[in-house]
Amino acid sequence: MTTSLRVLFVEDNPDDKVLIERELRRGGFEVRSERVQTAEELRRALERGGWDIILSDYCLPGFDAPSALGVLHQSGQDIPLIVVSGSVGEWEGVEVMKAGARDYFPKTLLTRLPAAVSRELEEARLRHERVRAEGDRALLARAGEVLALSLDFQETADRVARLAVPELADWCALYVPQEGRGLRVVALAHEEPARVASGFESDRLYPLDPDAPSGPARAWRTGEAQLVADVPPARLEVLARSPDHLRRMLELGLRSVIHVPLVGRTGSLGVMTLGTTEGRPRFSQQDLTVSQELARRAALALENARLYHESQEAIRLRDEFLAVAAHELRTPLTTLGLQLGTLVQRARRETSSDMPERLERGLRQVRRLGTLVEMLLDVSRLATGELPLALESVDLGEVVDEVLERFEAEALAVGCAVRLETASGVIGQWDRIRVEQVVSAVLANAFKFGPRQPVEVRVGRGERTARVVVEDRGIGIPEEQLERIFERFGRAVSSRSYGGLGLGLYLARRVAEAHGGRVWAEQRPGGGARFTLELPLEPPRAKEDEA
Amino acid sequence: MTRPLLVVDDDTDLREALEEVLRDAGYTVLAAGNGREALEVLARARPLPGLVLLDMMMPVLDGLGFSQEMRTVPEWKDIPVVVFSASAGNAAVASQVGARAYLRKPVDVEVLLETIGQHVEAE
Repeated sequence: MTTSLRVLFVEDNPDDKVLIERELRRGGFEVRSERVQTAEELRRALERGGWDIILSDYCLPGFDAPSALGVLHQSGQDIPLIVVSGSVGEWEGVEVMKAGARDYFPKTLLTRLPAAVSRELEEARLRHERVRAEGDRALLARAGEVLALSLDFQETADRVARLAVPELADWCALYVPQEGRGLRVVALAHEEPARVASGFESDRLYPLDPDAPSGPARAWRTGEAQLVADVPPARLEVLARSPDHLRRMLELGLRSVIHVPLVGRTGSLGVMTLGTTEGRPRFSQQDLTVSQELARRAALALENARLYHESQEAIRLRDEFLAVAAHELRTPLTTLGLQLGTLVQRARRETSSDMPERLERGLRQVRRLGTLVEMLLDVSRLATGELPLALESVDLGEVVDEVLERFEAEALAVGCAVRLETASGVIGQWDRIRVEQVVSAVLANAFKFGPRQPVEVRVGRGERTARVVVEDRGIGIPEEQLERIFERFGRAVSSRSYGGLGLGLYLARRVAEAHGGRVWAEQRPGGGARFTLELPLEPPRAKEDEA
Repeated sequence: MTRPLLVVDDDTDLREALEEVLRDAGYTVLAAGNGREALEVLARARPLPGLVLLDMMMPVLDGLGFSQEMRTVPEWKDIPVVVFSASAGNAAVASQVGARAYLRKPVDVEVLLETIGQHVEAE
């Protein structure tokens, strides 16, 4: 079996070249070669590429092996260079080895040259593989980092395309199916921006045929990767739909291509196509493997971006729905409340029956419905974390007065006498409606769990905080439940004996926190519970706290 | 002659309930189903309303549009406006409208009457 070998000779004597070639053929090589004698010739030959080994004379007129090594080094190519020379002695041998030659041979020992060449080829192959593997590993590691940077689909697609160029390919295109328009290029990378623009234009003018027997459409249909190591120009002529199309395809200069489906956890997202042009080796099986690895990572990143976008969209739709639902629910509640309210007033003036009380009871239920509607809307909104505040200057004592006024009838109904200790001028930048909501939740809780007992309410101020303390003498809260009652749907007692959604205190806490304050519960010495709401007197610096 | 109130709301049931509540409280009430109608009512009203109770989300011409057009007419521009809205964030909208106060739906009769009483210009 013969091995084909492309040899670059740095040699001034054609006879020596013939001699060496004969020796190599005898050793089983099928030799193709070229001979250069100057640095410039060597440089040009290296640029053309494709050499397996360089055999260099030690000393030429105007050139020598150490200089040849210098030129080789400059080219950045890893090609084994062996010095074969009649004049090479021990000292020169050591010098050229130090300079990077792989071996040296006196011309008298040429019979051993083929074995040395075989060894060098094998070592070079191993070196190339190692470098390649390191490069691939680095590329994939970088892919992991880069692809984690964005949750935007387009940005991620652009990053994927740019990752592959020029490390892995000269061209990289990402095809993603577009609503009603089939597979289209969404990202394209090439080192020259002008060619990227023209690539996009080609895709616009000549979209892929979905039934094409090969190419991205096939990879999309079958879910299989495809390596076309050699793109024959004849095939392009078959695929082209017009002379302009053919011209555009030829302009891409594709020599070899890889099509890899982008498959995520939830299915196929598109196809990644890589292409090489002249000046780069054709794609190999290893390139295909790396491309598939890159595609796997890219697909996950793209899928994350898509899922993120979808969840954002779902949140937007939900918020829109909530806004409409809120409006729609509040309007009839308003009408009902006003009708009952005015009937209560009229009945008080005009009848002596139990009509006012019965209407009042109806009105209370309307208010309760209103509160429930607000709570449900708030909880849905809070599920994604946001609670917008409309801050204004609010007097906490006033808020507590107003809320107590609203609770007057309820306090009377459950037989709770309210004792209020208030301070004036406890003012902060708060959301009035939200603060009312917290105070209401805490008071409702006190009336619910401490009926027929006095409830004490104190408004006061600390150094930096405003405070409302509400104490009841009800059933109290076991130590281990003191935090649980602030959780969503959290309650310390069974829902059978005490109704309610278990949302009031949860919302109270979220509101307090949104203000940069807090609300907590403790056991009241002597029985019952004590709730404290603390709000900052200064405007809350929520932004800074978050940072 | 006492000045009437102008109630602007696209929900017919609510608008009628408001009219009844306010008439019960002794006010004369004009009503309109959207901003455009409200401008037409204003154009005919003698005397001019002493207050406009204004919904924000309405077809044809919404609360913001109405208030902006209202402010361009010298005799109308100082009529007090109380925003009465079912949407969140009405405080911000109220300031855009230049409202004297804002009420969020639903509201208690007492609070409604108290707020109107504070801001109405009776003449």
